[in-house]
Amino acid sequence: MIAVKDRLRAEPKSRWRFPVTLEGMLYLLPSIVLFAVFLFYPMFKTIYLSLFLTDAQGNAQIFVGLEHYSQLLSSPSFRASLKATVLFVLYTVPAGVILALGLALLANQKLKGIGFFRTLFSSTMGMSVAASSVIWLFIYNPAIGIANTIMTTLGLQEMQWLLNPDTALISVAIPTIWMNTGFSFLILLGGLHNIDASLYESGKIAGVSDFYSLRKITLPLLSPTLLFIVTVSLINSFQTFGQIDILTKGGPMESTNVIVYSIFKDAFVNFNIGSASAQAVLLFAFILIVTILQFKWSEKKVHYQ
Amino acid sequence: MKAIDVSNLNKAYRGEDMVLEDVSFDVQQGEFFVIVGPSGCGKSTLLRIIAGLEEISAGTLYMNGEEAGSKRPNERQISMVFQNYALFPHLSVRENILFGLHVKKIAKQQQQERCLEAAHLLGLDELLDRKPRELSGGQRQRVALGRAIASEAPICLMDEPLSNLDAKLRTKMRAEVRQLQRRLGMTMVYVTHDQVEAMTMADRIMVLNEGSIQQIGRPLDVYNYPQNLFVATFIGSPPMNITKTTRKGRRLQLTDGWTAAAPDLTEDVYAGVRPEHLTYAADAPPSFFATVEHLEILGTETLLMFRMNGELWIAKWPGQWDFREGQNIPLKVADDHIHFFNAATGERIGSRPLPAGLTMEAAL
Repeated sequence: MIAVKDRLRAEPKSRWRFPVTLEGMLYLLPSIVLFAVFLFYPMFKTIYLSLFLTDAQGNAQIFVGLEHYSQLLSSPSFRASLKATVLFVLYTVPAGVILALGLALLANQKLKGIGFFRTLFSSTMGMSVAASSVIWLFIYNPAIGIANTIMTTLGLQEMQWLLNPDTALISVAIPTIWMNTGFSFLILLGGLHNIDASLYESGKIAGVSDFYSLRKITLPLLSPTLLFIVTVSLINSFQTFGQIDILTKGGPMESTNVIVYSIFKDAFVNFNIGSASAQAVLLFAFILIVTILQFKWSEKKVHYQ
Repeated sequence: MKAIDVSNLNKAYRGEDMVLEDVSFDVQQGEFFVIVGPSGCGKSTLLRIIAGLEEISAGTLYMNGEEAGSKRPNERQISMVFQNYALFPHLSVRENILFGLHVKKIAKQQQQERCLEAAHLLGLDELLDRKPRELSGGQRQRVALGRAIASEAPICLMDEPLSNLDAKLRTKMRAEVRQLQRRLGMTMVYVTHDQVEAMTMADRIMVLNEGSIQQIGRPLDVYNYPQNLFVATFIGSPPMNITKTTRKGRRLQLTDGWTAAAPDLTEDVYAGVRPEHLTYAADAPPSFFATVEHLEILGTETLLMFRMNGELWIAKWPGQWDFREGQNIPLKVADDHIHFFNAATGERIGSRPLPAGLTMEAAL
């Protein structure tokens, strides 16, 4: 902008001036085009479709207004899937972030061979959802899986992990935490690296306890990174699909039928695209509200340097 | 009384890289002790060892008469000011100054008193509720000092505290820190690479190079009687001019026509002359002639550069002198302003030994 202004000042009498706004738009054009094609168009199309009854090809047929929404909000199945989603988020996000934070604090110590553990802790980042899910499918296998072997070794009852409606959601949440930890760990470790070592040394000279410096130095200075990780994990968790599809297919008894999976089923199994679109719009609104609330709530607690 | 007593201290990383070698010195109570040396000489490591942030490889460290090498940092009764100030960006100036005081079980009331007192001393009264990012560099520096003052630790360690300030502010803070130390009577160990800071602030200087002590002494003693070539060229700005000499019978020849009485030594000798001791020989017979290579007129003083046996020499004269480059001018050096150093070892050849037994106690 400064360069543009300077040029305008230097040539006040040039015959034709390229409007500054237009010039700016030109620079933004590549991303505007990409966003328009892959984000804005699908978004508005989804909102549009959510107001119609559609045929099997997904073409809008009859305008029904907000009928899909009112049906959804009164449908017990949608409420169950909303509940499953919220529970799933509550299972995965806090546990995942706390686990990653703990590992990052450990891996931030100056110890011999710590590089090996750093690699190990972040390794799940490099695995696809499909591959990890298949691994966990084996782990949960009632006959040959290691999960039940561990249970019997500990003298506990064998469990029908993915087949019992009471445990299925948690059994999907555990692999999800495992998968997300690598990424969260890496980002948090980076955040810890950015904290100036002399702050801790200053604390040491004052003689404050390790817990005090964790609470008064580490967490406040890590708060921007934590906010980022919590936001990303929340959104990811709301949009979980792959592991549900592979591990439980929304079952048993719809106990793991989270919203994204329900959208998928309505759209591509039942070909009820209008209702699926309405669910997608509701999920979008829901994530938007949660994220706004989260930012509002954390405004005073996050310290940007 | 000795506030800090270090003897035969060694520091090595991974058992091999010697960072500090056989370092022995003491710091008296209430003394302003400056450790000065080029970057990488081990001065910061030494300070961190005193603070307890690094471990000793060999040797002993006594503080306030007690063995301190195995004590934790907070048991050593020290405060420390870091080069980057180590201020907590999320805490206000007040909280920064009071950080960690709760550990010492000081009543809230008294903490606030100390904070206000320190803030008043440093002129921070108006800024107590600000965050560090809303302060200027000099103000941040003062907050860091405030924390050291509020802790009321008898020993204060400073690691290049002024190096992040601009030149003007540095000069101002130099005087402030010195006055503060005098007023509070604290023992100060101050690390710097800037020999001007060392000269102007210190009661005593310790010059460190490549992990070993070069010289310890009062600033003027170090300046006037540098123990070796390193100290001679490190302390003083511009540095001491050094040239190789050749033996001419019982005299040493520095350059054509300029000889000096030879010290009682058979080895090769370097001669050194401070820039201010090269004077213009207007009336007196000149020691030698020099061809002006470059001239810097700074207003209050003039720097005149010329070649001496291929080395660049600098003369520093008060006032404004206007020579042309290439001009041949007569220069004079008094015999007792020539320093001699053993060319092989770099050690000073003792024309004037240091006054023996002069310690801080005597000086104070």
